[in-house]
Amino acid sequence: MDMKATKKKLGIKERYAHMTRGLGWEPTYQPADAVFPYDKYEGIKIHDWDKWVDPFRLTMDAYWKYQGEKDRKLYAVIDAFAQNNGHLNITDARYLSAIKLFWQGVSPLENYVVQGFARAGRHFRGEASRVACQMQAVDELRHYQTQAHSISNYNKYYNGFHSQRHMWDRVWYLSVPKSFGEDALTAGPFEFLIAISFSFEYVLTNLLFVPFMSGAAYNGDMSTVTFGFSAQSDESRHMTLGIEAIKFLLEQDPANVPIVQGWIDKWFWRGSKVLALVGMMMDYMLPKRVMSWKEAWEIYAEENGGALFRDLARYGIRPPKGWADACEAKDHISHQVWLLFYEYGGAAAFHTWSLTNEELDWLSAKYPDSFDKYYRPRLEFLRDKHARGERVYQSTLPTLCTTCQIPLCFTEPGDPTKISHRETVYEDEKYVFCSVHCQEIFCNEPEKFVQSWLPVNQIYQGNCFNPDVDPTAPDFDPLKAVLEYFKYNLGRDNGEFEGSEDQRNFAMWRGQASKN
Amino acid sequence: MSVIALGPYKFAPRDQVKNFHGNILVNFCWDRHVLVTAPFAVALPPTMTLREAIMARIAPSIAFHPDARKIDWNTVQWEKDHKPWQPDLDKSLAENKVGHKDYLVFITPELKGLNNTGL
Amino acid sequence: MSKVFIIVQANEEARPIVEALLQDNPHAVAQESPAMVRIEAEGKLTLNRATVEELTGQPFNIQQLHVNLISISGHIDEDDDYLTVAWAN
Repeated sequence: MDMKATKKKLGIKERYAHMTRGLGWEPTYQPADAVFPYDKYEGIKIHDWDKWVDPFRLTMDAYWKYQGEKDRKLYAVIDAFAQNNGHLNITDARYLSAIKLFWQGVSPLENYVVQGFARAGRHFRGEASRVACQMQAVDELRHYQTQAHSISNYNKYYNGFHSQRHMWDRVWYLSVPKSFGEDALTAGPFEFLIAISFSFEYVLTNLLFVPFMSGAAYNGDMSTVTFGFSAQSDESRHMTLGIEAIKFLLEQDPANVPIVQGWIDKWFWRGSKVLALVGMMMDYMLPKRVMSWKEAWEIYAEENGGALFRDLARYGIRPPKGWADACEAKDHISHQVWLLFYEYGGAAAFHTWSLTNEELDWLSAKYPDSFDKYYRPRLEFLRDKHARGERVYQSTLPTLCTTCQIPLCFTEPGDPTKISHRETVYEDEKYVFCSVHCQEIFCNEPEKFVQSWLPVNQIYQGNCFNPDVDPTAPDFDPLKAVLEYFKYNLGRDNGEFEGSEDQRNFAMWRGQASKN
Repeated sequence: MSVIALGPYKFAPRDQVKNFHGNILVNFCWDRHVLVTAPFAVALPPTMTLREAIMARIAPSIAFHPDARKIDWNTVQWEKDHKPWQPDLDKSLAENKVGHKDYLVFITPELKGLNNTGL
Repeated sequence: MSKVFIIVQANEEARPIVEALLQDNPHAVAQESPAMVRIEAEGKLTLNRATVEELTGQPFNIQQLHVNLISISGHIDEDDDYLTVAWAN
């Protein structure tokens, strides 16, 4: 009888070669340029696609195996959370505002990234890059789905979680992440890769998923920390893709360096603005705080990003243009954005509130250079007014930046009482910006941003009312009509936390959980 | 520089004045009073006087600020396009050459904000 | 020299990974936060398959790290027996 020889298993590097490049072929019916029509027009020159390597060398078979394992773990937790009223274990119902904002403003962005990587996975010429992009597209779809499944449990009990798809395309503050995502999606595949994989995933995403999710754990939200860290295990791979992608582009041709540098400048700044929302979530919306936004920025942006840009210096890449201004803003942006949402709290589909003295003290300690001078007096003033029954609700719409679409709540670098604004006239139209960097992004691609769908401007153009509304009626209330168009449940989704239905229900249910 | 695209890339600006039903969009920022978190964008008929615009739309929106009632609008200093600007409050926006999407800053140097720190 | 880090979930599966990292990288420091452990080191960090296997008495595939990994910083060099993160500067 013949003995079957045991074949030695393939090593990780051989397996990777077979399962990526080994799957490719040279097209014969059509020229390669017709099969891959989008990977040259941006000016990026690639001489050898085979130089692209995923350092994790993850192949599809291993990918499905580990992703399956992650999902089994995650869904076991989601089930247990739902069965055991896990929502009553969170520190306090104010915490829910952070999850509402995450669900309204971050989860839909995952869906955009699915689309972007599905496209990149089709249109890059190199097999290894296509495989990596396809995996990332599937990852991001998994993130959206697991967030939907985890957060739907909160939607059974609390306000503001409904109508996510409807709100995403309409609500004023959601236009910030939406326009960020659409800017990336409508760029060429290489710019998309630098925008999302490098500038967002590598340089900035740690700020979103690491300290914030650790904060979710600290606030008793088992469901969010589990989907967050499950997603983040994929993000580690995406970050690796980001750094490999940039090395690959820079090593392929020196002509790629200035193009890539321009994208880094643009997308680092755009990303840092979107993350101002996360800064507010960390400093203000978590009843128990793990670390301040400023500390997170120092660890994950300054220290880690600094190491990265020192490393990339050998290719002639410098830190992004907005780097110094973004670092200066770490003392300010979370406070400025929170105060914006507090004053416009009637128009947000989550709650805002006054901080306790202990919470103010925590922020004073974490922000010794800015909080007591510029922010604490404002928060205390607004708290006093609320205590007197004069809760401030701003109802006059704010000026929006044409590029980042955030209301102009940011101040000049080094001058925290001077609102920063810039204007450009392009083809006889005036455009307003929050900063010199957003202005520069516009000036580099004016034809793109003249299309900006700025919610405030759209409201004034009459495009944000339900069709049956009569704006000429004597009792017409435009703000109410707009919020109805957003599908807000007025008085339940929006406004002050104190006295809200969420606050009452949480207190009542938690009371029932601890006694008969 | 312009958009890198495979084909012609030209679109109509979305916020042209013709889309505003006869109004113009005007931005107002109160200098060094950041308790009012952001400047306001308001749609106004260009025939309205600047004083009417202020009284109807701006004064009520900043009324919660303790400095607001102390403003003497007749002595307020203005900036437009980052340069000093001297409007006539009783003339219309059009006569004052206030254009669509202009950004106006009103400055009240004697009013120092909360705690006299520009808040 | 720049710092590299590996962050993993604070759970039983990741515990031998943390222990192996600390054992094989004497210059590394572990920082614990809610639900996570961050292992940070100057310049370079290596995870060895053999060390994890010795600690657990079970076979370990380096790619199993993915299941409990939260974040990672630096250039990655991975083979069947090890994973290294390092900065070139």
